[in-house]
Amino acid sequence: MRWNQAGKAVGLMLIVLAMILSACGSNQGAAEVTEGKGMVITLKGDPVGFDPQNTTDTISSLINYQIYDRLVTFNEKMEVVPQLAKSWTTSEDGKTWTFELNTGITFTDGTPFNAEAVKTSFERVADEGENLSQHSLVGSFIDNITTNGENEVVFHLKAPQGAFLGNLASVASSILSPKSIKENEEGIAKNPVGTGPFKLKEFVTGDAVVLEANKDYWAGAPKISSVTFKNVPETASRVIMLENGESDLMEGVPITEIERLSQNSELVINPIKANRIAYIGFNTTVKPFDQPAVRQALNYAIDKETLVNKLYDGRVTVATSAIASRTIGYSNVGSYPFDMDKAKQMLKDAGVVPGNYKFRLILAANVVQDKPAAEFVQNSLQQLGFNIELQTLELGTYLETLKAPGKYDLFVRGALATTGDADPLFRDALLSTSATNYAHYNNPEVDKLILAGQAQFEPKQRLESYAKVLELVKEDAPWIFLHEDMARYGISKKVEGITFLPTYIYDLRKAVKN
Amino acid sequence: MLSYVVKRVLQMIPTLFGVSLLCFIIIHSVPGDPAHLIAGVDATEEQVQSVKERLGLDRPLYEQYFSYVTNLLQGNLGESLQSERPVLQEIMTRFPKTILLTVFSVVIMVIVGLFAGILSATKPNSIRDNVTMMFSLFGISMPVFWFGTMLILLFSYYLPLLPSGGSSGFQHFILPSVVLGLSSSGVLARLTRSSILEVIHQDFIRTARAKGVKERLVIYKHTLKNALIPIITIIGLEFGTLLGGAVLTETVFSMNGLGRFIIQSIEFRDYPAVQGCILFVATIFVVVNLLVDLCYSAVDPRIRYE
Repeated sequence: MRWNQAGKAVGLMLIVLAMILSACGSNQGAAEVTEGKGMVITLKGDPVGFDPQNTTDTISSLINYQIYDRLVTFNEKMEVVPQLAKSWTTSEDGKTWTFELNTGITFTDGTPFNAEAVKTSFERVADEGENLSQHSLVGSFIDNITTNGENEVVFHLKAPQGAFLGNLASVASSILSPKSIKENEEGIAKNPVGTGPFKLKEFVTGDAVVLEANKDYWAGAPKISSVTFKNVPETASRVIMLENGESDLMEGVPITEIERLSQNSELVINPIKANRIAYIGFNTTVKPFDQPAVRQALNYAIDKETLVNKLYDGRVTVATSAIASRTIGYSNVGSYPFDMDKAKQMLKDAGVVPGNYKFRLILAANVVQDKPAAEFVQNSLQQLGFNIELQTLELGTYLETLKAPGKYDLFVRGALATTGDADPLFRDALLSTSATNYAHYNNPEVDKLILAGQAQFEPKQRLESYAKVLELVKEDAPWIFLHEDMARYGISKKVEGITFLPTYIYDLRKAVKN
Repeated sequence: MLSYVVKRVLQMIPTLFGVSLLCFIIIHSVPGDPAHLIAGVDATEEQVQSVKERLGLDRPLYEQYFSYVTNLLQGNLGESLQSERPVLQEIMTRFPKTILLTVFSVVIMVIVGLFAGILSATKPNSIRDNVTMMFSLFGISMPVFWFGTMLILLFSYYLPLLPSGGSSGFQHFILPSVVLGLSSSGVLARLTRSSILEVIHQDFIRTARAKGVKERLVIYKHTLKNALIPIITIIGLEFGTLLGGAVLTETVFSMNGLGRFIIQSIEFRDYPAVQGCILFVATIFVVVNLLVDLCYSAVDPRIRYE
């Protein structure tokens, strides 16, 4: 009868487990999201937080875009159009911007939206002591802000600012409820309050973010009751959820799946030109990449036509400058034609024997879409006789490696213009004083032009400065310029009315689900 | 018995202390800077530095470890760098899902594994035995992420019966439990088979058969009971393995459990969260091992704990 004792012991173990389980608290353990009638969107991860002035990642921006409004916003052509502001004027010297506001708008916590609210919101991001991550983008140029009555707000800038309007249209410039700032600043990251079409209902980390419609939205209540952003890290799972109707929308449909999904009568595949250039950066501090001629030679050695047509099925286009074509400041400076013989000749003239070199090309593991391009470049350079080792590094390690110029020779990176303007991109990746200029590119003339363009607010003048920058950058070739990227959305046919922007952000204000 | 349990519990303390130190050293020696990852890929040096100061990551390592242990002794696992919520709270919201998944998997593993092992052992070297053992080899050698993906393909794509991911309802647990349970039942089946075969040739079984005891009784009462010791051991060990296996399975099935939380925390270099989770899992592991040892005496009266 000992057998029964054993049974009892096993039973006891299970009971103990059950006790552990119940001790975990069934109420908090059941932290789970209930889906109402609304849209379901699958994302690769969680947002970092709901404070638009203190987050820089795309997922946070996408969600905050639905919760907050801005004074001005981008339409799908990346033109700046009015949102909370009706109209605006600029002073002669470009240092004073006056905005006329729409009236009768309230934040979702009941606070009225007015000039004072705009002032409070921007003073927070302009305050250096706050240490907000978007300070450098949208706060650092503001000298002070004044109000003329309820509906007029005036920005006084330290210096003329060419990209000012574009920066105001970016998610970082969202207008926060002054009440939420005064009462609990730390809490904004968890309890966002804006004037936008949706409110945060709940956020379970690792699981989902649920937004519910703001029925009193000043520009007309949304037609969907809620939006659930589900965190589904596996691409294959996201595709299946889209196919069997568990979700309505995903970004990043794998190139290999597009053909198959296009034949599904319930889905639409919508490729949107993204404001992103994929490039391979040279570490110009290592030999032989300190010679411009060598960098140009390697640009000639890449058959970009084959790259975009064979590897990306013609769904991306060859880059025609260091920034994407829909970016403010873009001009077409052309790409390096494919010419292997010329590349070999140039290397010879520069006294470079490819067989003597072994390069490390690093790539961040989470940018899956760039991997084929990286392998293609590796292969092309091997044909020249170089030894190239492609190291796919996990994101944290990749960033760490880029801080140490001795640890990499080439790197794969993208230039994404989140504000639709070339200025932050140039200052991030090409300005010699930038910590994130991983190519260690240094051209005093380019520096001068970038800073000049930053201070010019006449669009024509800026374009001229930037065209020169792009010319010089093409000439100096701190990068191997590859292609303009695509965002690849898979959408259920039940859903309509979404506006897609080239910044991987889409607008759900007018979305309808049938 | 009681004094034995107390002694064992006291022995856990140095073990867990060792785990905490080792885990601290390993996670801190992984390249990558949590401040940089939190501030964002495009953050400037100053932004990264400010995050560092805010999270206390700029202090020397020994100081960080010391304050971590001090907090630990007060039952405080610290705050997650990512969500800035207490790590214990983060663990407790997710742990029920992981433990449910593990329990379901253990149940499937025990049922399938024992049954397959008995099937094999009762007719050694027959076709039945070989087929069963072939399947168990399949279970042992197939990676859970592949098997999981295949099951998703079959049951949520071709026959849309079950959801492909999530962890809110019972239906979400079916596929992942089957994946985990089946993959570990292979080991159990082989072990059951070999320990039954070992027992079945002993004298007392021959005696029982000679006395004319029914074959079913011989197998289920005499043989299995005596073969149980190694089987219980492996069930206990597998319990820990399954907790580990949950990491991959939860990622494949987008479940919001502890396993996926560990992965996310590692990617984010969320030191307190990783340390807290590992310590938590290690504690569970040690406790389960103790329970397994206590089960022995229930099964075999010759084993006594003094």
